[in-house]
Amino acid sequence: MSDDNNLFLLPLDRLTPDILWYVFAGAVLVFFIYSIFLVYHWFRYGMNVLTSLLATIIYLGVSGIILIITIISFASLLP
Amino acid sequence: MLHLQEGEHIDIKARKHWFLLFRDSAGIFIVYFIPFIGWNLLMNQPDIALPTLHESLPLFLASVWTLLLWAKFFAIWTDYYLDVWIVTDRRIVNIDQKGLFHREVSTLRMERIQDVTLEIEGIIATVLGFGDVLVQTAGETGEFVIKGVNNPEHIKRKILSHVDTHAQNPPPVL
Repeated sequence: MSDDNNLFLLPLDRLTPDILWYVFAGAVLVFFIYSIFLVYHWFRYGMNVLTSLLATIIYLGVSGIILIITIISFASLLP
Repeated sequence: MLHLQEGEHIDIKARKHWFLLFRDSAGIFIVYFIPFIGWNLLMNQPDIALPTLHESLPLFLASVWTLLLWAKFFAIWTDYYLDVWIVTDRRIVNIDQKGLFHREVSTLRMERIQDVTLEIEGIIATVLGFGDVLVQTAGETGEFVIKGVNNPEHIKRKILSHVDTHAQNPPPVL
């Protein structure tokens, strides 16, 4: 095994809690802003309220599950 | 929302065929799995020394990745959902959502239509029965395209029947 093989993996084991916070906060912020725009468009321009409602339930429901997994895994990473 | 004129009624609301949504979102699914496939390949390489990672780190990164691509998938669906062609007895309205902050609504009145052409291209479109309806217009506008809709033959027939009706009973000139 040569050291060169490890080089491209180094960032993963050097992720400090600070960097993880930035990744977490950035992703959640982007997701929330994006979601607000999406849901706004579905209800503002959608031709069918029921479809928009169903899309919102599916989108936010699945997103909620993913967010919970993200938060739990993030919390366990913190010292 | 479309505001109808007095006495106007909607005949057809058409949007792109579901296969086009599937095609447009296929890229997202492929991109989604790339890091997982890459990680699995790395794990199975005996000559590469993997760093010791916290056991929750892969789960954290995977969930962040999933969250962002899930939102991106719905952005593609939004584009599909909000792209609509509406055929009324007086006009064709093309609502084109070109991303979250770019929306175009164009209208073509029946009396301006000169010809309607149907185009079904490719094996998948032929089997699934979707295609384009090309509406030729008088004036500089040229062509108005209803893209990738289900049952284009039906839409073409409806438009032509309205065009014929308008030709026989032209709207009064005020």
